[in-house]
Amino acid sequence: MGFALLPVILGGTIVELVSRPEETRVPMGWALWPLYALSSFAAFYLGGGNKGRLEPVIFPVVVFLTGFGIIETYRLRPDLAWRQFAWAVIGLALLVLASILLGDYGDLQRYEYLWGVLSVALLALTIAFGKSVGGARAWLGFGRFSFEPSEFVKIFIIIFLAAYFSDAGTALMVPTRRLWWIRAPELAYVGPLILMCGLSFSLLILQKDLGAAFLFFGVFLAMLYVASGRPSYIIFGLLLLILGGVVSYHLFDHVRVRVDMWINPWSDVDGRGYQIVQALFALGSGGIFGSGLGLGHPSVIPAVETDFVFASLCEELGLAGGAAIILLYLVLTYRGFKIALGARDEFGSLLATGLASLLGIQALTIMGGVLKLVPLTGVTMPFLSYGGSSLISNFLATGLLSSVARQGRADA
Amino acid sequence: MYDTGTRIQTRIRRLFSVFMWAFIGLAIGLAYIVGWRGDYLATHVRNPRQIAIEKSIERGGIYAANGEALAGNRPFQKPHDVQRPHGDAARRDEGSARVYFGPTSLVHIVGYNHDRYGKTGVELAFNHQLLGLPRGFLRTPGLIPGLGFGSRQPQGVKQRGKPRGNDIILTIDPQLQAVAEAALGHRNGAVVVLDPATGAVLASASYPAFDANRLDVVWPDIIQDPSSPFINRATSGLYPPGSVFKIIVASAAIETGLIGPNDIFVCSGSIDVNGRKISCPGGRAHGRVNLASALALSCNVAFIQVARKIGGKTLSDFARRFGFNREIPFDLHVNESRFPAFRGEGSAGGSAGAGDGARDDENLLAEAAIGQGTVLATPLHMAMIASAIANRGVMMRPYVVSQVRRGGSGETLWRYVPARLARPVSVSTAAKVKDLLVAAVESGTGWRAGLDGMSVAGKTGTAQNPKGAPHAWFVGFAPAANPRVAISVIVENGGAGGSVAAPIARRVLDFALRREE
Repeated sequence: MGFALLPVILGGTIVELVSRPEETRVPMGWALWPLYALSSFAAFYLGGGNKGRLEPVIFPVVVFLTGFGIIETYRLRPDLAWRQFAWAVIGLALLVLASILLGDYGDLQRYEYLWGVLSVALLALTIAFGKSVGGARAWLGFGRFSFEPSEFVKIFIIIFLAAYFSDAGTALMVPTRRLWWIRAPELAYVGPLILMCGLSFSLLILQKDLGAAFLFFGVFLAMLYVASGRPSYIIFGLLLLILGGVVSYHLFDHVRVRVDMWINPWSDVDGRGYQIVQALFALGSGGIFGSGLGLGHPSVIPAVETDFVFASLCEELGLAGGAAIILLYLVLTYRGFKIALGARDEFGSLLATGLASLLGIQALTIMGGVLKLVPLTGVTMPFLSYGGSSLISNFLATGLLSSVARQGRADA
Repeated sequence: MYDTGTRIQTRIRRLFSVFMWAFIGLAIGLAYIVGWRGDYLATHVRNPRQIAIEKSIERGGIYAANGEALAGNRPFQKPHDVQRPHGDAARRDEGSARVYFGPTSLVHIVGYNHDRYGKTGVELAFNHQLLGLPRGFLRTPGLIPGLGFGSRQPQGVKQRGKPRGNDIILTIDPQLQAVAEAALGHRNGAVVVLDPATGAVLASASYPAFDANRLDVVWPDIIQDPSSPFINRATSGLYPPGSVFKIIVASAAIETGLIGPNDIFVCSGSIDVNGRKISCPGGRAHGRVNLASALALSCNVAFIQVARKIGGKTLSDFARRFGFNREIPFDLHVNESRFPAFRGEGSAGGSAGAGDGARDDENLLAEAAIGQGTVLATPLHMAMIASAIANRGVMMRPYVVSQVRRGGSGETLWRYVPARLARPVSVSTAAKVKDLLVAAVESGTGWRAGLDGMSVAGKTGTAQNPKGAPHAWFVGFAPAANPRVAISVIVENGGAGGSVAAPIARRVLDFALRREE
C-alpha cells in the first residue's frame, strides 16, 4: 500500500511544484494527496486488507492507478481534480461496502435474470432519454448530475452471462443437432449470442458508441470461450464481429471516419485526424523518459483528460512511464485471470474471467487506439481517465474480483 | 478441433495468453512510435510543441561585433544607449515578439522570426542556440542512432521567469554596414566586406531590403516585388563576374608559369573566336600589352590569348581551386558559383582538332577568360577570392557568427575559430597578383577606388548580361601592404564597373580603414 501511494504523493507534489504560476490552480490542491492517501488507508483497513480480505495485488495497483488518474486530472484540468477525488473516494467506499455487505458473491447468481433485464432496461432508457456527449448518445442526466449507464451495464451483463453460462452446465456444451454442415450450436448459447449481438449493435447504431459496442462483444466472446470451450463459436463470433465492422463501415459515417483516420490521420491533420495526430506528436515528443510531469504540452490533445490520458502520460513520463502503465494493466489482468483459476465454482471463474477481460480489453482498446494500432474508439482508461461513472464501475469490478478471490481462497 | 474436454482452467490460461501477447504487442507499438518515429513526430512542423517551447523561452539576442544590439525581444530595454528601432514604432508588427535594430540591410544576415512568416537568416540558422536548447531540439542524434534517447523537450529548468536562450554575437560592424548600405544606395546589388585574414564578414548589404519590424505591413508588397527583396544578393545572387574573373585567369597564368611578366600580347581591339568577334570595351585597341597592363586596362583580347595558352582544363582546375562549382561553407546558405565544364583538353595555342567539341570548348574558354558566358559567381564568393589574394593565397572559411554567449551571465559558450578553406595559389603568386591588382587601381580601370596615401588593390568588371545594361563590379582589398579588408561590390545593370562600383568600394574602404584616424 505504501509503495502504491508513495509515487502518487510524489507525483502530485511534483505537479504542484512545476505547475506554471500563470495557470489557475484549484484551492487547496496540495491537500489532494494526503487526503487521498488517508482515504486509501482507511479503505484498506475498513475493507480488511490487513486481514487478507482484499486482493493483495489488485488493490494496491488500483489505488496507484486511481491516484495517478487524479494527478493527471489535476495536471490537465485542475478544476476537475476535486471532483475526480470525490469519485475515487466514493469508489473506495463502494469497494469496502461490497467487501463488507456482499458476504458471498454467489448471492448474485440467484438474481440471474434481474441483471439481464436491468441491463436491457438501462440501455433502453439511455437510448430513449440519453443525451449526446462527444458524438455518443450514452449519457443519462438527472438535473446537474449525469452518468453513463453503459459503464454499469458492462458489470451487470458480466454477472448475468456468468450466471447464465454456469447454469447451462456442461451438458449443453455437446452439440446435438446438425444444421447442414455445421454442428448447430446449442440454443443455450444462441440465445445470449443473439442478445449480445443485439445489445452491441443497438449501442453502435442507436448510441453511436463504438467503443462500448466493441467492449461488450469482446467480453462476451471471452466468456463464451471459457464457458463453452468451443473455438468454433469464437471463430463464428469473430466472423460476426468482422462482418459487423465491415457493414457498419459502409453504413455509418462515424465508423467510417474512425477507420479512415486510423489508416491515415495525416490526410486531415487539422480536422478529423487532429486528435490522433496530436496524440502521436505527444508520444514522439516524450521520448524515452518524457518531459517530466507537468512539463509537457499534452493539453493540445482534445479529450486528453479522459480517453487520451495515456498520451499525456507518455509525453511526460516517456516510453518508460508508458511501458510501466502497460505492465500494470497486464498485472491487473493477470491477477484477474488468476482469481478466475482459483475460484470456488464455475460462476466465480466466469465472473472473474469476464471482469478481467473487461479491464484488459478496455486498456488494450484505448491504448491501441491512442497508439494508432487499432481504430480509435471512445473507451476510457480504467482508473486513469477522468470520469465518475467509469471510475465507479471499475471499482465495482475490482470489488467483485476481490470477493471471488476471497472465497476462492477460503474454500481452497 | 473441439476442446470440449479441456478443463475450464486450461481455457482461462489460454485466454490470458491472448491478453498477454496483446499487451506485449502494445508495448512494442509504443516503443516503435517513440524510438523510431519519435524524431519525426517531435520535430514535425505541425507539432505545436515547437511553438509552445519557443514561447516559453526568452529568446537570446543578436549582437554586433561591438556589442550593439541587432535583435532583441519586445519590450526591449537597452541598458545604456538610446536607439530607436528602425521602422515605424507606432505600426509595430504584432505577429512577432522581436525588435530589430541597426541598418535595415542587416535583415538578410540577421533575418527575422515571425509567427506567420517563419524564420530566416541567423534567426533560423541559430534557432536552437537562441533558444538555448541542445541541437537535439530539432534533431536528436540519440545515444543509439535512430533510437532517440531522452526527451526532445527542454528540461524546463524552473527559473525566475522564463528560461533564457543564448545570445549570438556577429562579426558585423554596424557602422561599416551602414556606410555600405548608404554607398550602395537605392541601386539593386550588394556590397560584401570581409576580413581577409579570418574570413569574418564585417558588412554585407543587399538591396532591395525590407524592414523586419514591419513584416506584417510590408509582406504583401515584398512578395510581389519583381526585384525580390527577400533574396540576399550577397550570398544567393549569381552574376557573371565579367572582367573581375581575370584575377583567376592571371593567377592561373602566373602559378603555372605559362605566362611570364614580359610576354607580350597584341590587342587590335577585337579578336576572332570561331567567326565571332569579341572586342575590348569600346572597341579600343590596347596595342602591345603584357599581363600587368592587360589586367590594368582590362584587355579582353589579351586575356583570351592568355586563357588559350593556359587551356580550358587548367583554367577550370583553377576556378575550382578558387571555389567555383563547390559548396561554400557558411553560417547561412550560399549559392554555388559556376564555371563551365570543358569537353576535352582545352585548345592551347590553337590546336589542330577542329571538331564541334573543340569549337565549343574554344567558345567557352574565350567567354570564361573574361568572366562571361556561363560563368556565374556570388558577391560573397568574389570577396573571398579577393581575400585569398590578400591573405597570401590562403582562402579562409567565411563566417558571420563569432560567439555564442549564455544569456544573462554573458559567459562565452562557443567561439568561432578561423579556419582555412583552401589554398588556391602560392604565396609568391598571390604577391604577384596583388601587385597587378595594385597597378589596376593605381593606373588602370579601378582608379576611382583609390585612396590617398594608401594603396588599394582591385579589379573592375563590367559584366554583359541578357537583362540590359552590364553589371558593375569591383573586387579588391586594402591596404595592399597589409590587407585589413577585402571588398566585393556589384550594382545590377549599373553600367561600367570603374565608374559605378569602384566609387562605392572607395567610400566603404575609406570608412573601414580611416575611421580611427
